[in-house]
Amino acid sequence: MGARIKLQNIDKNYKQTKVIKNVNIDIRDGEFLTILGPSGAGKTTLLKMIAGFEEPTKGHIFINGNDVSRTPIHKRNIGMLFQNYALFPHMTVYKNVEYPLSVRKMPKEERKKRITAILKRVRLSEYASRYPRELSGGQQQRVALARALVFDPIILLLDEPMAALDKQLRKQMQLEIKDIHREFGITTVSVTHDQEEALTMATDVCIMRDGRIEQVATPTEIYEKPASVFCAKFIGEANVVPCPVVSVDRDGKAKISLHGITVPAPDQTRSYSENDVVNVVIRPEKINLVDDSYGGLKFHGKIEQSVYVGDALKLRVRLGNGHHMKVKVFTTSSLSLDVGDEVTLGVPEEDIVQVKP
Amino acid sequence: MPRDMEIALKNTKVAQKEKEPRGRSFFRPWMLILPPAAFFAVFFIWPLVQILAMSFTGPQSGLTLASYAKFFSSPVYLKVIATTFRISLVVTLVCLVLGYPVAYAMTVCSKRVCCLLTIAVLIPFWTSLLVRTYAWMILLQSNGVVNNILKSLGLIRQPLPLMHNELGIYIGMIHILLPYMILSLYPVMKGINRDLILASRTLGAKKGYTFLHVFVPLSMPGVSCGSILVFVMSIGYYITPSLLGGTKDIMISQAIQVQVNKLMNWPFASAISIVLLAFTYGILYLSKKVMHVQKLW
Repeated sequence: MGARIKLQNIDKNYKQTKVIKNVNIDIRDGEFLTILGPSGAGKTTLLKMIAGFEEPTKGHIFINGNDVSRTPIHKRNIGMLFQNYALFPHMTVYKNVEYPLSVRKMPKEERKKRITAILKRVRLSEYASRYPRELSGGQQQRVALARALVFDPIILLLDEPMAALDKQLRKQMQLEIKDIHREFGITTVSVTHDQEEALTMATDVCIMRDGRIEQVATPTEIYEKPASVFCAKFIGEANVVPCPVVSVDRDGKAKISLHGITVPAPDQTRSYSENDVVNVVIRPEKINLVDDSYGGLKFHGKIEQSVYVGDALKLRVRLGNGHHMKVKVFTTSSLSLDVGDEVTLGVPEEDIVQVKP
Repeated sequence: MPRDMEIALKNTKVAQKEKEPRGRSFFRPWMLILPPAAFFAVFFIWPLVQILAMSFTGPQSGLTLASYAKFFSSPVYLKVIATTFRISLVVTLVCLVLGYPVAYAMTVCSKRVCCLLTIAVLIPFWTSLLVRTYAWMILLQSNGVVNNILKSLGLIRQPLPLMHNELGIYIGMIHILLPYMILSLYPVMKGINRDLILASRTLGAKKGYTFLHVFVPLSMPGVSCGSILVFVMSIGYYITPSLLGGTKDIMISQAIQVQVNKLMNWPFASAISIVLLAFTYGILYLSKKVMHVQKLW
């Protein structure tokens, strides 16, 4: 029912500006890919090209192996959820959902069957005769979703689908869309700048920056093994530490200085020279508060700031060399920390991740 | 002690309350409309009341409905009404047919083209009605520009009757009223969310289907607004039909002018004016009901 999408060497220029620079992505059948990036990264342009609103300046888009780069929008069989829902204001909920079926000249009984089923699925059966303006934002969103799915499209595109909803509703809709994706098994591509949304819904995340792809991977992989400093900072919080190489032995294995402590460079697959500086990422919640008997890598410091966020404390610790470390410790009833307290931070070596600049 | 404090507190409160409005108490925001309201009362409403009063007078003293009876019983004047409505309806429909594509073009074309189109619409709009009507007379008369060109091209031998008939009225009125139609349609069309068009396309509709089922219905407020404006302006038209039209089928304003200038029958002229006014308000009232339905979306 779903579809494979392949973007091959895509370039897109608007006049002189290069918006998309040589993008290649393979999207598997049934995958939920979220394209994540700051505004201006070109993520919406990419989505528009899949939908057919824009043609790539160079390169090809394949859906199930067919080149659709120049196929008109209405022949692509793609369901799309717009940022502001784009419900037809002059039609009732029923008529809105019926629209793609009327276009396809489907027999009346078949239409009715499908519309009833999909409205029931999005829990809007009683609202069939209402107009969009009589519904709340979340309800309008669900009508738009029903309309985008009722004609069995092969791909579902979501353009910043939660941007207009408040936080509470957003979380609810994210889970709802995630469920629907699993249920329909439809290949889905979503665009967002909200990292939490990407991690919640997606099976795969694609991080974009300045028209290029930085990393495509599963949410876990992106979080645990970010490809670059940009990715590390974009998803979750991160301590990014530039570490100079202090020694390179005969086999090319290097040791680096992490805040003054010499440790082996995490990435031993590449070769180093004496003047290299490598970037490592340490997630704040991987850092533990330990005592002096801790045998592993440890740093002494003083708490400079402490923010209570319910399940955890977010600390900013000033190390002996003047640098800061962000630390997240989960709260327990016995935990008592104050600004000015001296602490020892333990960092498991396997949680130090080396990234490209 | 607490009792004293309470009283003291109360006094300060009262003092504060009194202090606020004092000095400015005379002024109210609605007073801003007084000058224009006074102007209208003296120069518009009062004359109108006089016309209304005059329409009920006759040769004898005392009030009479004679003028109205004469108007509604005479086939001549019923025909004037029919002509007025026919001309207004044709003008409105032709303006809509000609104006809709122009307004649509203004919403979809590039900024440059849109700017040029706007200028092309606005320049005649800002030109005096009288100037434009005389210009049409020069163009349309028997030995006018149009006929001369057609003759010199050998397309016709006898000049075409382009004015002093209904055709002349149509040409002149449509030219003058077309910008009103376009300028009513344009903002509504411009306000249609482009995502709706794209949404329709992703749902499988071709461009033509999308235009008919999404764009046209959503442009209807502009259509009704422009049509009402043009129609209401048409039924009261005087200069253009009297200069470009013939003597056979006259419009209601021309009938009023004949009564005032040629026959000196002021009461009857007043009665016709009141009928015209009543029709105009009737149409506005009906259209308000229609518009109310459309306001829903």
